[in-house]
Amino acid sequence: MKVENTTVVYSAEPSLRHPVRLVSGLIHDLARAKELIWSIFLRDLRAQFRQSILGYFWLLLPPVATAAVWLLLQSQKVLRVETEIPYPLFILIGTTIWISFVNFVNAPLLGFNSGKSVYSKLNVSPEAFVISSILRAVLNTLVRVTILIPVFIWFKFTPPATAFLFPIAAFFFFSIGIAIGILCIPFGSLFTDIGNFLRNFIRLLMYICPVIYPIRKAGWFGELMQKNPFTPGVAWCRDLITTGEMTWALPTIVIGSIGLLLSFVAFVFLRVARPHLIARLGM
Amino acid sequence: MASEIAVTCENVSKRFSRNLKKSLFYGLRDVFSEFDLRRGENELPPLRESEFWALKNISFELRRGESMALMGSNGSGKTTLLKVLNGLLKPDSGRVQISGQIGALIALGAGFNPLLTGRENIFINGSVLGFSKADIKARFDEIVQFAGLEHAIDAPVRTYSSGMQVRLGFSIATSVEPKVLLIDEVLAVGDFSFRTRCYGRLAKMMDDTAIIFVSHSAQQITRICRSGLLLENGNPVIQDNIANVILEYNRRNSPETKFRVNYDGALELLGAVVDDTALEFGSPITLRFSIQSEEEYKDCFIRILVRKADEELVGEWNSELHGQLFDIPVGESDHEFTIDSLRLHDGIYRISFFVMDNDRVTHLINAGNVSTIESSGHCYGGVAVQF
Repeated sequence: MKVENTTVVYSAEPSLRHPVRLVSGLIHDLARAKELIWSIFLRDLRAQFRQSILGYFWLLLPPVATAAVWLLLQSQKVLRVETEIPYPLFILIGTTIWISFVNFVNAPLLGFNSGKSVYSKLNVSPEAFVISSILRAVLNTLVRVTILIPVFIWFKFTPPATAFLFPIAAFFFFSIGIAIGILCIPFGSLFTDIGNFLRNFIRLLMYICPVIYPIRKAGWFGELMQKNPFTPGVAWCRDLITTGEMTWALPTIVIGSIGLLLSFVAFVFLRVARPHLIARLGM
Repeated sequence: MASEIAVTCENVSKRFSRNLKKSLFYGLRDVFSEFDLRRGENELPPLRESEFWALKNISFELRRGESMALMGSNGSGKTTLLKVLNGLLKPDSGRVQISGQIGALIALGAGFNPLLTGRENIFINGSVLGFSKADIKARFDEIVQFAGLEHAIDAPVRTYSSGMQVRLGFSIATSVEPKVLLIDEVLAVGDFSFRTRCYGRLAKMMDDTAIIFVSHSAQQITRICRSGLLLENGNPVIQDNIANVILEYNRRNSPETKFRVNYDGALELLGAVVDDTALEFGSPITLRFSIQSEEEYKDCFIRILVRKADEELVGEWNSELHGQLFDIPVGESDHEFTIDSLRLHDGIYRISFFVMDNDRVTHLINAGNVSTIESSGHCYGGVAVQF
């Protein structure tokens, strides 16, 4: 067993006075926590459905249920949405992407809170719980997207070659969700308001994204939809596996890159905040 | 030759708030105070509204091979100090320096998932404690064997008793030898044979490890620690060899005298006193008490109990065995009994007594903690009663 003969200092000094030490400490901790991240991920994954009979069905229920409601409204002519591709396909892709996105926004805080009993007592990096929670969101997304394949076959719909770019689009789109999630941890772990706000806000946000209907072209609502920073991600992800259109590629990449940068900053901020959060989380 | 210093704790202070809303708000303010780069590590920040010092100006040094007990009543700051030493909490002033790998016997089995098997959980808990998968694999059999769980290792942890969970947690956590070991009241669990093995394992580590041990049990503490630090409301009270620290702890935490009379209320204990509370080894002590009774009782006897400060019963003196039976008349009466020679090892002891009716079953009077006595003059051997 390797013995670390390191000396650590815990002092009242502001940690931001040594930014290099702060960032290198973060990287060192994350590198050291690789196995921990993986074992938490496996632990939660194994335990997730061990007490369940239907298992992965519960992952698919939310997008299918949302899609079913809107399909019913459409079929009963309560509303009329016109889409280039069959509407059921349109909406199922939309809700799958959106619910995965929401999953990514919520994952960091959920992961952080789930590890509370461990890192409030032992010197374990809370980032490990956050990252493994994000990994689970990745896996859940993979499962949901895979389920779309039989739906495509059912509608005899052949996706264009651009479908291979889908993972890249999803990566950039979801990274902004992850950034929001991590940024919320310091506040969200102290005050439940943040979690509540996030849930309600995101529910509303869906209606100004092209999830259940395409982007409106005109009017104030159309403008709102087009300026919404989450629109490009949803639109590009769907376009890649349906129409092959690339209009939303650049905005998605730009916003996604900002998301990546923000995620890093958020991790550094979390590290600064960590002892103060633990102090307030109780025993 | 003095070995290398493992833990240095310099003027560590930490404030907490008892008001939840304020505490959360202060937490947020503290997060942003990290951006105030002018703040030094040695200035003591002021207390804000509803705050108190959970720790104030704690300093000590510990070398490898030394072991120190952290003592104090509930809420005195022991766990907070352990958390600061473990790097979980940031001190509001002062600094902690730790050399070498830190191990912690705190929250044994942290990260266990009750639905997963013991086998799966060993790897999870191991990685929580910072061991690699290869390390755990190499020690897996030893861990299971030490915990004595060979038969149950493939059952879900939620089918384990709490003792079994702790045994597994202890076994994993102590499978490596850290340079600094923090222990928080974990040795009280497990059955007798497991506890004995635990002490054996700790004893093996003690030569090369600096141990900081939190416990309320004087017996556990004296087995492991040579020195101690007593905290009271976050302040250091005394830092000395372990005997003196335990003495001081017991002095400050003696329960108050409790009198109970018999069940029908016909008797009342008016007062009881031990003539001299400073007891020289082997000298006599005398207990005097007065009773007010509405009925007459014949041929009663008295049992005087001697307890250690932590309530452990160490001896009993029964007047019947010395042929001393007595009557309780109607009205007020005074009584006096003397134990000719009380041979107690140095320490604090508590005296309580029962007045028994001649049926040998009925407790006429049950008087707990009548007096606390301090024995001195014999400091050899660790056993309370010397004969």
